[in-house]
Amino acid sequence: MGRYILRRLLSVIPTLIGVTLVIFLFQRLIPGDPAVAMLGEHANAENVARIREQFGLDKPAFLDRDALAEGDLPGFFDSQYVRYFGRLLQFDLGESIHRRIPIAETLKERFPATVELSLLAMSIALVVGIPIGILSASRRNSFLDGATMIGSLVGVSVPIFWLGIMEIMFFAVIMKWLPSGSRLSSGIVIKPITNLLLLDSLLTGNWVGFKDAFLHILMPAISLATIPTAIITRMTRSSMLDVLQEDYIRTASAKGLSERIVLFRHALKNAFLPVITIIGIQAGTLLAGAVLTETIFSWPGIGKWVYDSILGRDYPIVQGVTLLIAIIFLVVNLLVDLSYALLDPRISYE
Amino acid sequence: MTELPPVTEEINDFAVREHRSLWLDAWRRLISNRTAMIGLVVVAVFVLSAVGAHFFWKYDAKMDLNYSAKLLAPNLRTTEKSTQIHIFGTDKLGRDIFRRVVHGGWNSLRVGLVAVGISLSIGGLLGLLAGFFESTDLNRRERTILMAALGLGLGALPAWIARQPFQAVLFGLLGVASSLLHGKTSKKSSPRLVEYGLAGALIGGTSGFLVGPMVALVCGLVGLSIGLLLARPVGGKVFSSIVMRVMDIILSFPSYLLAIAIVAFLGPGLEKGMIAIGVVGIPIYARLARSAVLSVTQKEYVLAAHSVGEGHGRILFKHIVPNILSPIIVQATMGLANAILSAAALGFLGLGAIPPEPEWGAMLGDSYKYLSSGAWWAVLFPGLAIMFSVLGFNLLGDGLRDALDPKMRV
Amino acid sequence: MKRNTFYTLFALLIMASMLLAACASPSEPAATQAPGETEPPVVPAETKDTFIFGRGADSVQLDPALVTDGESFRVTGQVLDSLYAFEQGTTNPVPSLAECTPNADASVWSCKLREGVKFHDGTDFNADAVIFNFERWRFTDNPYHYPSQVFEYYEAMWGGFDDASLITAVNKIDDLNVEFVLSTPMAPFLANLAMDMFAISSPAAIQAAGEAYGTPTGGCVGTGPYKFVSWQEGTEIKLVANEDYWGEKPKIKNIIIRVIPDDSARFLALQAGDIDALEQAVVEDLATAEADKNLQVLTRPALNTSYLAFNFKIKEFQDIKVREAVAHAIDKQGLISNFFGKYGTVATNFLPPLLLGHNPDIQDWTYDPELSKSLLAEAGFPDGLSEVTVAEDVTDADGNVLYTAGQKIPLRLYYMPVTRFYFPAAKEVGEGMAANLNAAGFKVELYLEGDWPTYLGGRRNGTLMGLYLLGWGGDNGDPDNFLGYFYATGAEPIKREGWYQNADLAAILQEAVTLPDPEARAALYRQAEQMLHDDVARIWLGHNNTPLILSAAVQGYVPQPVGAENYEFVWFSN
Repeated sequence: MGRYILRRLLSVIPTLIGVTLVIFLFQRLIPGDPAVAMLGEHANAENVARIREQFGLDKPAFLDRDALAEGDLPGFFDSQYVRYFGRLLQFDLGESIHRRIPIAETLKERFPATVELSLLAMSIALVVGIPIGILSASRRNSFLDGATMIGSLVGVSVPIFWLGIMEIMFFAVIMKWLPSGSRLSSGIVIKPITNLLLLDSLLTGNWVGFKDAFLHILMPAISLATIPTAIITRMTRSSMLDVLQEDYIRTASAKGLSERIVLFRHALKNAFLPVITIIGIQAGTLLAGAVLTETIFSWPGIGKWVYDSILGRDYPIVQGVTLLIAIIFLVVNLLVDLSYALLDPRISYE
Repeated sequence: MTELPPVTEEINDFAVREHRSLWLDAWRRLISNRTAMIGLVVVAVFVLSAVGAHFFWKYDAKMDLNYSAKLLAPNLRTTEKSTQIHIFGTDKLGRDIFRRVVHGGWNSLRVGLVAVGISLSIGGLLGLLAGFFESTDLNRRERTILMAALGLGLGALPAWIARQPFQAVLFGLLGVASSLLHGKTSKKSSPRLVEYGLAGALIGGTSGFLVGPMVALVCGLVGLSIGLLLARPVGGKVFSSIVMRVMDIILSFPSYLLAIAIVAFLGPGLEKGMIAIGVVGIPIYARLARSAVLSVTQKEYVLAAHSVGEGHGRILFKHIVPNILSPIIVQATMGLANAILSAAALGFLGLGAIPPEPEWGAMLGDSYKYLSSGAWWAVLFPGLAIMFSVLGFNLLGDGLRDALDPKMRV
Repeated sequence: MKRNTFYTLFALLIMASMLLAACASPSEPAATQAPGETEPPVVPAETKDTFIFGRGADSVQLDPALVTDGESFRVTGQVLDSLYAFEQGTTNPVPSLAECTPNADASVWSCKLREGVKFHDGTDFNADAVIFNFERWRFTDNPYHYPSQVFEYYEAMWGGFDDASLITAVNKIDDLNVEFVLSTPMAPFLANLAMDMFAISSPAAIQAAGEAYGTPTGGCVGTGPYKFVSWQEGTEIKLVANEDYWGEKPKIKNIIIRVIPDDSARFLALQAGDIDALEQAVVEDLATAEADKNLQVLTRPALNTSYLAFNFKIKEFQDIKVREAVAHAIDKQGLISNFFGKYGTVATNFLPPLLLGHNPDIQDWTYDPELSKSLLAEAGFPDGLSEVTVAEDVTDADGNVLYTAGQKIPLRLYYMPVTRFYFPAAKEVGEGMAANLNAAGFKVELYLEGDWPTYLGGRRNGTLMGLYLLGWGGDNGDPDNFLGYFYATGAEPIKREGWYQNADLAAILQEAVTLPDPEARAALYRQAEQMLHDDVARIWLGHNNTPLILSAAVQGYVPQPVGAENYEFVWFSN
């Protein structure tokens, strides 16, 4: 078991290095010189050269063979990628090109906003999706089952940006029940502890703040939850159905155990495995969907930030945030694999 | 979830049933499935209207401008204000939204097909090979090709450092040699390691001397490690794990983000969007194809083909591909839905079709700001078009899954 | 054991969901209660002491000397004062931190500084502070003139850096008196001094923050009516009233300047009461706002011009017949009335009517697609124009060749990726104009060249190869700031003008800037406008009286034709 975990942990390393390589390569490949982008309208040959030197952009991308030919071995490794990687090892994500702020600093503000949104969306998906999935599997071919199937298909088919707009139109413009964007109304202050506004307002007992933050997060969270809810519902239902056809369930039913006991004692446990995998995959989808949701609801999270930065060619931000998201994705998948190994007796750990 | 088709008449003509192909059987199951039929109808409406409009209802988006009809609400009868019938209303430039939605369908359909084509052809092929060679040993020829490619690829590094392209060729030859000599000599592995390591160090080092002592040192070291790697001819598993690792890397980027980055790199436009969405989809097909191949490689008919000495290519395409087609068809259908959705997302963010080309996502994104002035129709109808076409493909994919693989019924 | 593990995990999962569900449940009553409310859910009921302004884009930098964008000046205008200021609602420079008098030929200006003024950090405003700022801008080897920083406006308004500077010396007479020595007489000297970019920052703050001065971490420190508090990037900037302000004390305690990029969302936020004022709205929303008694619409007098420019490195555009064909193809009136609304007027000059030198006698080109077609045919394109030829190599800032001479490229119409105060609906105007051009035989392709800085960079380097949309807003109310910036001599203006060269025009403009007599200047500028028109150098589209929408309770907000509006006079009625 321990060896399995270790091996699985080690297998992440090459992927991670690959991810940093791809991220780095993208910066090199995207048209437009970062030094020119940094200077914007002020770019002239002299300034560009100065900025290049300052940020090490005059170095070669990977290895400096010219330095080597001159017999300079350390110079051989003094390249942009090696420097980038070295900084990463020190948890230094660099600073943004346009405003010169350390990326880690802005991340501290922006990341919790996305985390809060994703967590809420995920819990909506779990709280709604799993019970409905179980219910519809246990009443197969009923009206409820049919409605669930159609509903979940519609759920994966709705463009979430469109759903978001429709929500704004109805709840904010026509009914004026909910605010149309941002995280908090002006004038409301929540003392930052974790920067998760819902949690912070609870911790400080700030009910006005909690209500305000909750009203703001409601629409984006529901939009973001649509696809995961639909998928989790489907997955729960189908794996429940698979399990319910197994012999041991039939035996249990034949023994005269009540439906509830069969369902929750015997079936649920085994039906849960594929659902966990899906939850892991959906974590990635949530972060990806955040780009659109955050753009529509002016949510100050990392999705919108990285989208703006791609268009503005602020590469350090794009690199930093993409790396962070990729790492989260890898870690979540790792956890899923491990929990799978932990839960499924059929998987051996050699 | 669907009722089984009535079986009475089928028992009567048992002989006919023998001749009926798998596909015909699947088709029967498909048309008896109500949800699948709904999906099929929706898809058919969408495809026919898009194709029909493209060929028989010409529309020149570049000339379309009519200030007098701007932002008109949908009307079914002509009035003083709107002298023409616009069943979906008009947009800011007075263009008929119905017309643009229908023509936008053509673009969405193209994006979907091309993107899925890209992911399927690249991802499917990679997954197929990865899965096949993971469980099957390479034959002599394949091993030689793989080793030569490996030698060439690895040799590119010292060749680049020393600016000597011939080094790469030399390392490629070293790979060929190692695969040819493997098995002929019955030496233990440690002398082999020494032999090849030395050969690599020599190839890299000596030619490196032409440039400089330090270059020779580095190239020698790199060559040594390449030699050690080549000393043990690799099996198919290496190929498979390299491919799958690369897929893992692509997969660890959020899909929209990757697509946006690719479009930022290529520039906006429908064609660029197709490529971006296609690339993002590659790992899905690779993984699916690989696991499907793995599930059939140990089947009796494949083992039998191996034992009668059929070639790998023949086994792959004659025995394996037909048997893994159904999950891939299902995935491709659903993938079309996904590609349409992603294309719309890119369009919404302003990275899709070049205006004034009609495209659903872009239509949504452009009209969004007129929402506060009450022009709901400009946002509603393109959105519904996206939703229904995506839903249609999803329903169809769902039905296909039921029809093609009765065991996989969900 | 396995069983236990499973249940533990399951229980944990359930607990986690419960916890998150619990987070949601207490507020469920609140959510169901909400429908009953008619008011939006923002209810701090005390007297309003915060003015929130909504805008489309964030500031670039808060060191005004480094930037050229209005969104930066909107903030620095509250925090920093210049030596002169523009009188409320006009373009007249009036004394602010200093009062200056010229010598006989206007080449030496003696300035008496205001007494007893302190920067927000407590240091004194005095002659040393003025000299520190001017020398920092001027000398490229000044320790606070960082290599990565380009003081573009200093270069543009004062002729250049170091020895090229028109200001050859800023001398300290005593603590409260300085004199500016100019190399040549300069008519718009005081107007230049009043510009937001030449506001005086606290030397101590610049020394302390170094290169971070003006960034969200460094902020900015001046003598203005408001102090910088915080800058949450891409979201909002907060300011607080300066109780020790030397002028009229600010009436409102807090200012928040918030970014809401989407035009529609911004207007919704105003309607919902989330913000108190905004700039830039779509025409339809403006009509709604005018009908709404809770809102008021103010307009800023048009000191801007939007235009369609030619890149003269395209061979076909060097033929005046082709340019005339373009001019006659465009339905200016249609574009202006549909996308600018009643706030826009059709332009026939580069100089807006408000400015000295505007030439009212210029007869605009008629909208006549048929004439366009025949002009095109005369120019040798009877079947229309869909492909153009690059006349000379075009290189980027690095010297890499982007387009080679003789290369055929499709005829492009570049449109702006953003809306600006002079261009309320750039994409729609682009689409409309493309339809106009297509109807007249030009097969244009709309083209998007990256984001806003990239687009401006392309303009500046002359690499927008085709027709492109852009506009210009005046910064100091002087005609030289329009015509001189683009058409006076020098390599840079030629590039950013799409490689248009006209030596006669440049000579006139150079003469005009030195003349002290306004009437004599006006005559020269009118002549320049006529020359531009006759040559079809560019196609002027419109002047926009930029509308601002405010909540009806906002009082004392006076739109400024140039420079930042003064928020210290704003107050709320009940």
